[in-house]
Amino acid sequence: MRDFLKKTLIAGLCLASVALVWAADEGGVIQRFEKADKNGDGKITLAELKALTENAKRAQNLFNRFDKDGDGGITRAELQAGAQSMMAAKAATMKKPGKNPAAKPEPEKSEPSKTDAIKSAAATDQRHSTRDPIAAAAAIDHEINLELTKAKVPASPLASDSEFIRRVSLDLRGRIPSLSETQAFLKNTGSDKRRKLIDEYLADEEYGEHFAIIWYHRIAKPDDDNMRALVKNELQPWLADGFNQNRGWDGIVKDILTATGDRQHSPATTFWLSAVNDAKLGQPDPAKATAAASRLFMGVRLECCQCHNHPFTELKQTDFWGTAAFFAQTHAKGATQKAAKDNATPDVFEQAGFTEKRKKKGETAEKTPPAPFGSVAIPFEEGQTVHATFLGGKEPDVKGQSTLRPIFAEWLTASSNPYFARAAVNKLWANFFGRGIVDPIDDMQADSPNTHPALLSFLADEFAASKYDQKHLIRCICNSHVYQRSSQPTPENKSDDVLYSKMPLKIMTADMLYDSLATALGHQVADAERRGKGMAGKKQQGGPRQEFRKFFHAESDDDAGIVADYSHGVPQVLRLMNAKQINDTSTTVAHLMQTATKPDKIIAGLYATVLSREPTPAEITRAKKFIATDKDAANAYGDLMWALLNTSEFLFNH
Amino acid sequence: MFSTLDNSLSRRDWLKLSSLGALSLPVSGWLNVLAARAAGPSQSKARHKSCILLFMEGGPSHIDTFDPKPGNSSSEIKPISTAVPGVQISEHFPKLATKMKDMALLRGMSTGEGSHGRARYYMHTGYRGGVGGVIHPSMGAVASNFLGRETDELPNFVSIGDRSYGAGYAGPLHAPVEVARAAAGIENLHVPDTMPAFDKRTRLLDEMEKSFVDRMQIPSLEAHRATYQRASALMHSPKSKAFDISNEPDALREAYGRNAFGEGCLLARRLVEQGVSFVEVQLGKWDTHTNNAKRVQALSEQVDPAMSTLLTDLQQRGMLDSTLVIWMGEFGRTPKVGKQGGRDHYPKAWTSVMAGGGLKLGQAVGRTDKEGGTVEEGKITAVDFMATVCKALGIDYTKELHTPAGRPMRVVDKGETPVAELF
Repeated sequence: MRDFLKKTLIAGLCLASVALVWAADEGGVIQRFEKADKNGDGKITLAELKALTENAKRAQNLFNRFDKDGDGGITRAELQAGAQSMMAAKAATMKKPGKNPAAKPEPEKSEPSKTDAIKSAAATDQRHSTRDPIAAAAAIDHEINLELTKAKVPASPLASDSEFIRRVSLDLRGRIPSLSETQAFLKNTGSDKRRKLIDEYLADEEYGEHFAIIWYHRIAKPDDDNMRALVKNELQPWLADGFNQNRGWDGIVKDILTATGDRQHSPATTFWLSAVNDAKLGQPDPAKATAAASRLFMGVRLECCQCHNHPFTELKQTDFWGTAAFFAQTHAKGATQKAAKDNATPDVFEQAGFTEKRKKKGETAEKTPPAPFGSVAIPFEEGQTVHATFLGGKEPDVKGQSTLRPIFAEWLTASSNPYFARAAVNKLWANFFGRGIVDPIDDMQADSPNTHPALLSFLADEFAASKYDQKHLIRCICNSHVYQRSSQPTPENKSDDVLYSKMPLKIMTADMLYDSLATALGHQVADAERRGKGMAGKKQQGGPRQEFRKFFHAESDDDAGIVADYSHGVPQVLRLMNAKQINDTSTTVAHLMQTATKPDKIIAGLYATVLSREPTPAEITRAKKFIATDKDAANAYGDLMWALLNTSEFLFNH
Repeated sequence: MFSTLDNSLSRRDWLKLSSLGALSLPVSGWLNVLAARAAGPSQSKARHKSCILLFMEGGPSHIDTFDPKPGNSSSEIKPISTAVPGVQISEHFPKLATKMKDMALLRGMSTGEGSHGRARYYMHTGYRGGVGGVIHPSMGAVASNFLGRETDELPNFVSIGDRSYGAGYAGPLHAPVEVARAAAGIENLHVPDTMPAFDKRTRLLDEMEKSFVDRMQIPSLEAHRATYQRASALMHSPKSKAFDISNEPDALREAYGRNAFGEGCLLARRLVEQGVSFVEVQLGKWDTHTNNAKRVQALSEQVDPAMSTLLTDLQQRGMLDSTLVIWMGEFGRTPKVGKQGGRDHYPKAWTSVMAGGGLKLGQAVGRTDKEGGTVEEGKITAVDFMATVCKALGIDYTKELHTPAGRPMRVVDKGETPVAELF
């Protein structure tokens, strides 16, 4: 995180675009300010600024510019003022003469600030594909519409701006937009405001944090064997940085599959620690790692052929163990119950011929004799060993090698690999549409139906050609009409579930619900809080978020990060209806009653806060009637907000 | 219903359920349909068999509980005689010893999973976990599915204590309602203000919901509607008092034991009395790698009064024959005590107990050798056990279901032999 901040600062120092980003993001200013302000005295000194960059001269220039009163420190106010004047000056040089945007410094209307924010993000965007997402979006539309025409199913019209901002905010940042975000977007008359909003959200740190949550839970599935090795979640921030810096997916996966070192310094080792088996004395189990790697990165359920050949595919038992052989010499230290008690941080390493020597009395673990280098022994089948073999049958030459995982990782992430890009694309598609092009998403080798084979191939090729640029892939999808269609069915496409004639409904995941409730209720989700300091932050891993997640998450959620079908039972609904925190609508209601006096305005504010849209005239009439029945107006507005929060319109992403 | 389980089962079920709710009744609205019904006269007689699972998390030592081995030098308990001649159990179960005629000991358990998580999953579902990429429904979800009714005001599956295993692919309708502490009852059952205020705002919610549902016409939204209906019905139902054990007489509460497990057993009886199909009560800390003798004694002293009182209580209410009570852990423990004074995991030979349920009781089925390390007679696998539970509850476990991915799967895996001696 600190590295990311530093890079952002360095990248932006000469243009002071950092300051522009700060100016556009009030909460962010406070947090970044506090980060830069090492000694916490409320001022950034020259030394503190220099600590953030290697270029002392630039730091000096910037410092002089911002420290208006010359007292040797930049206060928050000076920072904001300086940023605004620089922004205005820059905007003036960019715009045609005659217009004077400097006269209108309100950040909300000033397009340049957003553009620069994106540029600044692009500076840390490690992939930043130059490929055209709009052309790819058109290709997506073409493929989808082809099938619709064939089936004679008409598409629903495009979603309204309200539907769009809510959907894209949930899909890219994992929460509903705030009231001010919604209002600004609805007011904006720019013709390409949707494309810009997608870019803006992709540049928001919450983007990486949201996808990190999804992938963390896919990778680190706690069970009785691994829970002690996973007590600390260091992987999620690591993933968030990776997604925010837009590292190529190949690089992230390679890091994960070849990770060594202790969990704290090498969070990617978490993948291997999730595979530890208590019965194997805290050693990563090659079988568990194989099942996970194939499901996560290849879209194949190899574990089906752990014990027998796959019933629906060509996959054989030897395919499973051939892959497992690459992982057979990966070991861990300190991933046992005892080590966890001693607060040890577990360590992962790859070493040929290593065997765990400690033996507990009475341990009933199966003891398999170690197989020769490059092979794995099949448990319970004495003497049976399998050579490391790539899926498809090729055996790598392992002579002279000391490690096997890098060989596997290179093969997997090569552009010629038939699994890697397709699996990633299919999973990402499912994030947006609630189902994969091949569904179920991690069983792509089986005879699972592929509704749009040409589209899947196109997207996989595009992803590979962009060097596995996830932000690019998201731009391609989110700029398509297919993604931007309304979820409301027409009489003719009502029964279509697979052709994407309309946007399918998805129930919010537990994390989305948590962040969206916090956003709507104004529960300490000022930006600084969200960014990880407060209890409501996405990065915050213990406490209320974890408890909430445990309570609301659906079992299917872990694998997919998506839940298309309804997943709440009676206990969840009771909590939504009756829990004190969720019923505490006072902050939002009080705020709206302060800023407006007319009931229509307050009602509109509540609708925009919870549902990101304006109420219809009929809804306003109904709400006013309801408010009039209560002497205590604040209480009545609270009840109205309660009802809004319990509608399916709130609880679903549509 | 279960036999048609496929990826749209939950939707179809929900549709069926919501069709019971009168969408066309403008006065009460969809949320309050069941609530209105709940306010009517309640049927309190159990209409089907129910099950109470007393789950001993961690894996109790069979040798120190229900399969004493005086010939094993590591044994630290004395066996005592019971109401059934020839059947002996631990000295720390004096009350249960008098109830032996209502119990059957299954001493031939041999299940082959020695790791807590996998063993717990295996014993709850009858399937090994993590194979085939599906999450199997646990015993409680299966019971809920076969024995429960959609119109029941109370949930069909309640889990008391730790989080249990859930509904898996059977869907959220059959997921357990969890009660963390029996004495505290069900979480968020009560509104922060008043029921009239709640009814007022649910009427508003009703109206709001209708326009969105009409616009979208999506089955998932019916599920939302149905779950809210059900939660609201529970809040209004006089039966929800079943979750409040404070109404029970002091003497009975003392008899069950004033601890989490005793209170859990009492709550289980109250729920079954109101027709709940399946209640699981957990008692943890049986993972006695150290200090085995003392810890097993302390835990036994909680089990003895609670379980024996439960059996007596059910009997006195005429419910014992229709209520299957199961006592089990995820495995047994090693016949030898290690250096640290404890026993380790041992799935090869262990004991579970069944009581009530109209079974042939008053017997010990199966036998281990004199060390308690090998099953010599009457071997019961996890699959056999699951089939036995289903058979006792009147569930056709040979039915083939379909997972959401369309894969056929039996309620209980093939190769099952229910324990014949019990029927």
